[in-house]
Amino acid sequence: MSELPWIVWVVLTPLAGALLAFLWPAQGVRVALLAGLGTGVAVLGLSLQLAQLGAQRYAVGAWDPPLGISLYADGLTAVMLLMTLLVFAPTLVYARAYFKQTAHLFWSLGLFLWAALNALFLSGDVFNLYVTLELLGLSAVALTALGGQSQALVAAYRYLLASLLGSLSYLLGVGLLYAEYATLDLQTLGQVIGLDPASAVALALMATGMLLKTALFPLHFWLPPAHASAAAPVSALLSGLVVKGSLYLLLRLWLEFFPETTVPASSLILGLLGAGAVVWGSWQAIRARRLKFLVAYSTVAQLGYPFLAFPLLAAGWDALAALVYFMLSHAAAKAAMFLAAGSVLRAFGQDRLAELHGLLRVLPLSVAAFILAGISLIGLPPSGGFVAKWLLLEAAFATGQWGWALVTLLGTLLAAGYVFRILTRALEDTTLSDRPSPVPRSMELTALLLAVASLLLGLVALPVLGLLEVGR
Amino acid sequence: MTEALLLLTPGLPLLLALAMVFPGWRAAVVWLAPWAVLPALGLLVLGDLELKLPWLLLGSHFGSDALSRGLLLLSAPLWLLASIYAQSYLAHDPHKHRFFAFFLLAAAGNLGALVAQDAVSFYLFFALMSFAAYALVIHDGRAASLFAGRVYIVLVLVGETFLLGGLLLWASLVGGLEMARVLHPQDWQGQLALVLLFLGFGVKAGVLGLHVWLPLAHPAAPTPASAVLSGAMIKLGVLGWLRFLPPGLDWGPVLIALGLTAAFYGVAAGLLQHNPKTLLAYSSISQMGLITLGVGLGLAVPELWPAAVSAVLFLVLHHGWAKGALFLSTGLKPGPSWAVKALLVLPALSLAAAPLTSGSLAKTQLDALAQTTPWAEPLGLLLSLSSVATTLLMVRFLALVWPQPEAKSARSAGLLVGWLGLVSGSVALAWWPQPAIFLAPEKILAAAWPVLLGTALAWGAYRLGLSKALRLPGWLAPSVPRPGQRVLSRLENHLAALLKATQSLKQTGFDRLAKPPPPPKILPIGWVMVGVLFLGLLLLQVLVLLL
Amino acid sequence: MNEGGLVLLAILLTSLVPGLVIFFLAEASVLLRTVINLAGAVLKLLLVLWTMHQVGQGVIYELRWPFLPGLDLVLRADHLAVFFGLLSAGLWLLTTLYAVGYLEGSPNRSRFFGFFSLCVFSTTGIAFAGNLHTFFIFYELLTITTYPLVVHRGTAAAFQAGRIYLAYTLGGGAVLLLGVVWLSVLAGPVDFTQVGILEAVYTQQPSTLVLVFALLVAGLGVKAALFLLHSWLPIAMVAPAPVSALLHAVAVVKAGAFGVVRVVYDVYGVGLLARLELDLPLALWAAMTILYGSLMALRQDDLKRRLAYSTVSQISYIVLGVALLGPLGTVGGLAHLVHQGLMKITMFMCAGIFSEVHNVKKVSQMAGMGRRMPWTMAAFSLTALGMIGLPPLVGFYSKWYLALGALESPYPAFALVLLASSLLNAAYFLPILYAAWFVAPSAELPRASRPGQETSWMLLLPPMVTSLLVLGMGLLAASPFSPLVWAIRFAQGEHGP
Repeated sequence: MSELPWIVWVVLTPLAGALLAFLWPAQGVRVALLAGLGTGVAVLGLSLQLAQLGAQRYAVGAWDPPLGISLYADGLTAVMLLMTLLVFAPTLVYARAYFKQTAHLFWSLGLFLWAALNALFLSGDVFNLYVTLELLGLSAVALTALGGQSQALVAAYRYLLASLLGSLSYLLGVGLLYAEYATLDLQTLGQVIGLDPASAVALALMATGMLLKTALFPLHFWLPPAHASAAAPVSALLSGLVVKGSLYLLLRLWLEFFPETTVPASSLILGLLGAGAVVWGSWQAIRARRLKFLVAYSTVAQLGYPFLAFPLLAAGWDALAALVYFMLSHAAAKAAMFLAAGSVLRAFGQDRLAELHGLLRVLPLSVAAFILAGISLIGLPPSGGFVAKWLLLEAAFATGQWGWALVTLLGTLLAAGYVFRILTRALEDTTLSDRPSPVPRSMELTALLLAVASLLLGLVALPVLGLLEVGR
Repeated sequence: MTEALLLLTPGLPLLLALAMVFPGWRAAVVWLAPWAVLPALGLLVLGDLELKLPWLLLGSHFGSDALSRGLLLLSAPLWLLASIYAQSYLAHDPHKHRFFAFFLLAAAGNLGALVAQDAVSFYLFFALMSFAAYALVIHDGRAASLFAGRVYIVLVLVGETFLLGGLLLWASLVGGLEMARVLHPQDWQGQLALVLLFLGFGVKAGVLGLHVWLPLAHPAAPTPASAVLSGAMIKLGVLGWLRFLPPGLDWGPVLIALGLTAAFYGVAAGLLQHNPKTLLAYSSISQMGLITLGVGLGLAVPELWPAAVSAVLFLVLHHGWAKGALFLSTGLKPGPSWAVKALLVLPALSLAAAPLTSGSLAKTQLDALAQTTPWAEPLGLLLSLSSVATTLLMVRFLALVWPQPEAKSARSAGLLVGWLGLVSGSVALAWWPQPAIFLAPEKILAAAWPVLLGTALAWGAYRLGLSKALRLPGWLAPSVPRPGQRVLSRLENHLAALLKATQSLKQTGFDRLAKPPPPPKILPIGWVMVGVLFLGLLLLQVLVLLL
Repeated sequence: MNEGGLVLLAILLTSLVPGLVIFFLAEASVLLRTVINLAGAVLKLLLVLWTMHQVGQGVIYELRWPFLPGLDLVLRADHLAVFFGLLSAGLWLLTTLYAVGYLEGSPNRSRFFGFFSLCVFSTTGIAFAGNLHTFFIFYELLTITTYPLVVHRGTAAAFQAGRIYLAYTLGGGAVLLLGVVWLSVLAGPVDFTQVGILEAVYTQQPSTLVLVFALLVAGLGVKAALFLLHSWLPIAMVAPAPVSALLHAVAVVKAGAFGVVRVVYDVYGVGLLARLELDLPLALWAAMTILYGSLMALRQDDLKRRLAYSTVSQISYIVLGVALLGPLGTVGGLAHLVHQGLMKITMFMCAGIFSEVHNVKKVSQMAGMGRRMPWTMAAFSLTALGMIGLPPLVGFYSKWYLALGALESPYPAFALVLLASSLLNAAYFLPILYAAWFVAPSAELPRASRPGQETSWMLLLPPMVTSLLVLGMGLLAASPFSPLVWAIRFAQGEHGP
């Protein structure tokens, strides 16, 4: 069991599924669910393997780096893979009810996206990272366009341009680094890199590209329309996972190049931008008129939190744990919210907040999902968001930088502001304006499942953080 | 077994009052009401008793000692007779049941306080009596009664607050709740405790300055309630003094001065009244002044404290019986029967300390005390003068009561029984414990001249038509509602100002958060803007990394 | 997991499980819902009583769940925990009964009772929390679970109140979180059993400890409705009467006060606070709240608002007692924790009956209420007199011990605050009693003389029971069953006999 190369299957299974689903669209649903099952087994297998044996390196085709492609998995990778699995599995089930007959492409594109994400998390060199990043971006744009309406197409186009700009910026940085150090392997680079002008420009290019792709304030402009106009399961994947891909990449670079290249000021910039994101995104979410925009702006805000942890990373493990836990809990909670928002759209035909009369009566389970996921977003105990905030605050106090703690708390209050807007709407006891369309139970349940998961993440912090420590 | 009587003394009236809750039992309760004091009467014939109930309140301690029994000798029969009187007096009152419920509650409080030997129980019964009496004051619901009730309750609250503050300080200084402990003040805290206790009980005892409720409440309350109010309830204040003030406290002169002033002020104010019950209330202020004087004398001469206590006790008894009888007489509406009129004079004479009455006995004891002080001469003269003044007041009272022509359509036996009981009690007091007739002749003579002088003065004033001309300037003649009104309205004004000041604090800044924010405007971000931002950020990163 | 841990878990589950189950019940299944609710409540009460018995025997139950590295979630049944736990379990049972009667026939009952149970789940969690962050977790849970109850009526005013409630309580929660995290960074996990743990910090950074204390108290002070942080409380009284009753007596405000108690005794410790000289500021703040709340109560014509301001004032009695740092103040404050709960829950339930049966919501409409509904009014009057602090009702003992505590402390002047507040209490409660008992009703309404006639027994029974407790616990204050004796026992443990 522990001898199997799970690390390869983690990428190959969804990739094969994507190809099959593309070639055999009529059976797309079944293929996707089977591939999802397989990927899940592979991810769990890999995680167990990691927990038992420590970090894994695998050279594809037995070519050693710097020549061949190497896959690398440590605790951070495993947590990311599990996060992807956590979001993907319910989303596929949800999509089965959501898409009915249309959108065959979703299955292949979705699985392709999964493969790209997993590959991104497992890539051990900077060029492979670029390739997977590009694949991830393209499949995400394609999925966004799947919605088909003009709105979605415009948003997808904008998304495409932003995504390309980010990737190219990153590629430029990779080129500079290669010219300088003649290696692409992350760990090798980490050992040799210094702070000469060329490296500095390269690092800045790579980082800024990732910031754009992660939609960090003030480069977030593309995100709300794209996430809000995509189909619900797509939105869940985009908000829950895709932005985490580039964030993960940035974190990897940061960790690998850490002692040599980090200067306090650059982490300070990230922290400040994160703070800006928290405040601005939350404020926009509070002002949003449409449910999906509210949720999308909430993503902008929530993506600020991990960046608050960057200035604290130097202090030690707590900050990294906080950062990862933010990603994790946000992935589950945000996916739950978008899925629930999809149910709302299905039921009411629109999602203007002012017109969602009788929400609780029509969709009690979705409202429950909203509330539970919202609790995690606000960071109230015992949710995953709370654990993340707790760790972040601890790190902030331990290093004496309690300014970040204040931003976190401000974000908590603002998040409560927009989450409770939904709850208030739900509790209003007005009569229904018109007959809502029926919503399949599986759609509501999957959203609720994710929301409960985001809540329970707070109670399983110890094993998750234990896994995160593998290979550090 | 007899210890149970201690518990029943307040317990029986309390149970009867609670039984009023059940409509079917109400008539029976009214019928039984006078006999609620039977346990208290039982205590009178028994010796010292003690009962400790550590599980009750903060550990209750009941006991009957000489002081308890002394006051029970007044209170128990007074409540009994007043109840009998009330049964007739309120026979046709629509709120009869309510009256008796609170009457019994007040009785329970009064009697309970007499046998309470720990501070908490004592305070409990004291408060029970005070608050229950409120319902008696406002019983008839007239505007004047309601106003009197307001003044009364405000003063009760002020008094309770003083009392509670005093008891708290007292308890923290003596380190326990047993009232047998004596607080000898060492520092300002001890002094403050005693001042608070004095004032707290002073409200009840109608000490000068805190007396304003008396002339309002007495005429407002139904007659039997006035009788117990003046006869028994205000005496609880005196009991408080006797229980808590330590002998040897250096307040003697202050209390003496306070008491004498009250004695004459009460008469002066009373003379100006037209309502006999108001007049009697002022007379009570005056008589309570004499009692204050007695307490002051006891404090001034510590070695005579026991004698002072017994003198004060006797004064209390004498005043209670006589004043109770006088109050009940105002409700009699006597017909032309000369016997009634003749009997009416007896308690009045007693109050005026005429020879062969309990009043003269009390005065003699007081005078004996006064003789031991450095101020023997002036005090003796002033005491005699107070008798002259009281005589004047009593003549005025008789003049007010005498001519009432309308007789109650059906004279009820209950009224007469109650009244006659009190009159005979008042008379009997002159023969017990020491018959007044065995006083030395010169003492009898000394008691006689003030009464004669007072009568003569009254007759002269009547001849001169002064009684009709008794219209003094407003500040001197506190016609009924004035004193209370002033205090009350000033209090209310202060409160209103305070409230106004708090209004501005009401809304704190957070409330504004409650408003939902305005809807967003769609922010158009052009591509140029995006490029600028992107490149700017890039440049910033480079610069930061290099510098 | 040991047997004691199971008991503690069961105490929590007896309200969590009914809460979750009730959400999924159909609106119409009244009987099933009521049975589940009451069964949970009775079971919880029995379990808490059992735990209390064990604590009396010296057995301390504990349950640990690893939460973060070096940070456990701890439930522990110590003296204070069962003290507060019994209060919430007992009053929950009564309030549930009352709520069933109160909401008869109104919509959204499954939702209501679901959140109602969750609210009590959180409160019980607060009671049995064994360290500061476990306390915080339940404290925040309470915030969320109460919100749907506050806005239950679904009117614009209710939502407005809900927004204000959230803004305040979440803000307070955030500040509290700041304090809790800071403290655990300074001193590690702050278990309530390790009072001396901050001594080491004290020698190095005393001023930080002061700041953290300020954060903790400000965070808790929002729920405890301390002056300037109190505005949400009178506004939140738009909630249905059973919610207000629970909110004011056991759940939200009491959680804040209980938190202050925990912080003072089990986190900082009395000695440390005295050395940091934090007792006087806290006591001053409490005193100001006491007077302010009473003054504001005086101005209100709306009955529930008057009661709400009265709560503002009364809760600070607890804070004051704790801030005095002496054994007698401790007794008074802790006893008031229970006493105030009993009294205020009675008053709110009665106020609910007045508005439900006769649509009387204002003090000025109370004329003749004593004749219309004598039993309800009797319960109300008894507790009002208790609030004023008349013996033998429980309020007297709170006041007595608090004032004695003030007198034995370095600041005897606080006794004056208590006396003044009693006077103000009298000034705003006595007119109600006067109007109800002595003024004739304006319109002739059916008079009721037997309990069944004035309203349904489900509404009437709970306030009757609590008001009798107000009387009984006062009469038997020195007996082993009274909360006062438990408070004395705790104070002896804390300060030495």
